[in-house]
Amino acid sequence: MTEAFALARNPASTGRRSAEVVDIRPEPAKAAISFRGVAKTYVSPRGEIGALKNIDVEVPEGRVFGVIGRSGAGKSSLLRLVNRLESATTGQVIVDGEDVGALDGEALIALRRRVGMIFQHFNLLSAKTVYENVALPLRVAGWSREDTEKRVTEMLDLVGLSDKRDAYPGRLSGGQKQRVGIARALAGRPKILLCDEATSALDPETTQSILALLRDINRRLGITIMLITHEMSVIREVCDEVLVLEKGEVAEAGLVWRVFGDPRHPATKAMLAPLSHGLPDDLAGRVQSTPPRDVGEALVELSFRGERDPDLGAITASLGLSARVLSANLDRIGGHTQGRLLAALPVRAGAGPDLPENARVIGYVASND
Amino acid sequence: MSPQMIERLWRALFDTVQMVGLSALIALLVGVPLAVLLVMSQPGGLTPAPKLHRALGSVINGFRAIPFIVLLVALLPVTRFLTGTTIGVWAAIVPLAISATPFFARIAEVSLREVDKGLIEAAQAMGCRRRHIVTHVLLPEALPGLIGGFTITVVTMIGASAMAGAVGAGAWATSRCATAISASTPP
Ligand SMILES: Nc1ncnc2c1ncn2[C@@H]1O[C@H](COP(=O)(O)OP(=O)(O)OP(=O)(O)O)[C@@H](O)[C@H]1O
Ligand SMILES: [Mg+2]
Repeated sequence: MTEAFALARNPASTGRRSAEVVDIRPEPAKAAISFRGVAKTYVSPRGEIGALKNIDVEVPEGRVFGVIGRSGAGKSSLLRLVNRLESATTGQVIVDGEDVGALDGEALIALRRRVGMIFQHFNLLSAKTVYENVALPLRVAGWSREDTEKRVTEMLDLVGLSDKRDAYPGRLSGGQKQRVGIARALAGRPKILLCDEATSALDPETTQSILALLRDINRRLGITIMLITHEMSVIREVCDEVLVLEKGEVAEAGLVWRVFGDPRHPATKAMLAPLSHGLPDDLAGRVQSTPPRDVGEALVELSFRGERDPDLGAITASLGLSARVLSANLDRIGGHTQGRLLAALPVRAGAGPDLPENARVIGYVASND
Repeated sequence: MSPQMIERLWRALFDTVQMVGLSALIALLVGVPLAVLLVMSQPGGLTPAPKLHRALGSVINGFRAIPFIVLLVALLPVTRFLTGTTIGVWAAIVPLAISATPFFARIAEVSLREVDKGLIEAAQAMGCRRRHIVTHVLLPEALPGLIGGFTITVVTMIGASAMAGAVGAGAWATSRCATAISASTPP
């Protein structure tokens, strides 16, 4: 079965939040995961590496929570604290109401069965079939044969791989492998799903279908998803909230449309830079910082941070009828239109234009003629 | 070739198969758990136990450093204690198995260690206990390497069995000098 087919069967999984998918999820009541004053230091023969410090973050229940940051920022370290593949050096990690650091062997195993995890390189067992891979977490948890059979069939159906049940992972495409990974992670009915760069090894189209599947799982099953990525587009596509990590510390956190609409930390701005626009090349060479002596134009940037949808009438009213639009980069993220619009406004003799508060003069160009 | 000669060669072949087969079985049954123990106890393993790891490693290396023929002679008292004799097929199995086990354990250890760390991590993340990780991840994933290592072990043992024949078993090349040597060893 192809990825496209699997998508077609699930009407909710059409990539971005589209109009027909109504968000019926209640407001998150409590945190599924909270990090309280967490720090992580690795001790290696070559010395200590501070991977995380001063992390105070709450992952709300039932939401898709993204963590983004450059390579080495500490994203994987943060995620692995949740199911204690690593333990925090200081601070507490509370998952589903339990302090993960204080759990003993049995309790830790029980917790891990309530937290699913998928990986960048899928980590499927090559000696087991798709069915056996998905069944493994159930087998080791002591499920009966019939229950396991029923649940695995259900899971393979969910990810659209029912016909691959007896195939070995070696014969599957990357996208199919990740679907098996998702089926395996969800088999034991976890409340939380952790995704470590789950789409980084996939092509853009497959990435879309996996993200759609994750979104669908979050919506339909109410599973809290904490995913890490270094791709801005993944966050935009699927997350409700985002945490920007920089050198092991929280740079920014909040609702995706707020953080992306109004990035404050240099790290966030740098990551967003490829998505926004600089000055067009032809103007970049001629721009000056003071108004021209006779006639010329002011380059005005209007920014839309998503609080209100841009109103064409208001834009015209504030810029005047003779303004020209040079470029625009507007995008709708999470139901909020945001981005920037660059316009040129005629100005005369040393005077700057009157502007609304969301506008900013980038510079001036003198008229050639 | 005289009928007696052929009869004796058949007998020698049968002895070799019996000797190698049984010692290989012992090497397999003891070597695999040893290898698992080595991998689990290594630093960064599932149950790190550096002291045990080092001790086990030294014993294995010690046995591997001794040439088979020396081991054969040195083990004569052990052989007599275990089998009540120092000649014959059963007597040859003791030194053969004792030399093949550490040999195979090391090869098996390498195969087990090559299992992708990510798979072990995935198993831990899904709530597998240690024994599940051994039975569902480590052993099945290392199986091709274990089979290859076992083949090498058996081939090496066939070579060694000729020497073990020196203590009385009917290995091919030594079927005839066996009597001479066993006559000179105290019963
Ligand atoms: N097991 C370990 N032992 C020692 N240092 C480690 C270990 N794991 C991670 N680190 C270090 O901790 C820091 C954070 O690593 P981490 O893997 O969390 O980053 P990341 O944000 O996931 O990066 P990437 O995007 O490359 O996966 C890095 O400096 C890394 O070298
Ligand atoms: Mg990482």
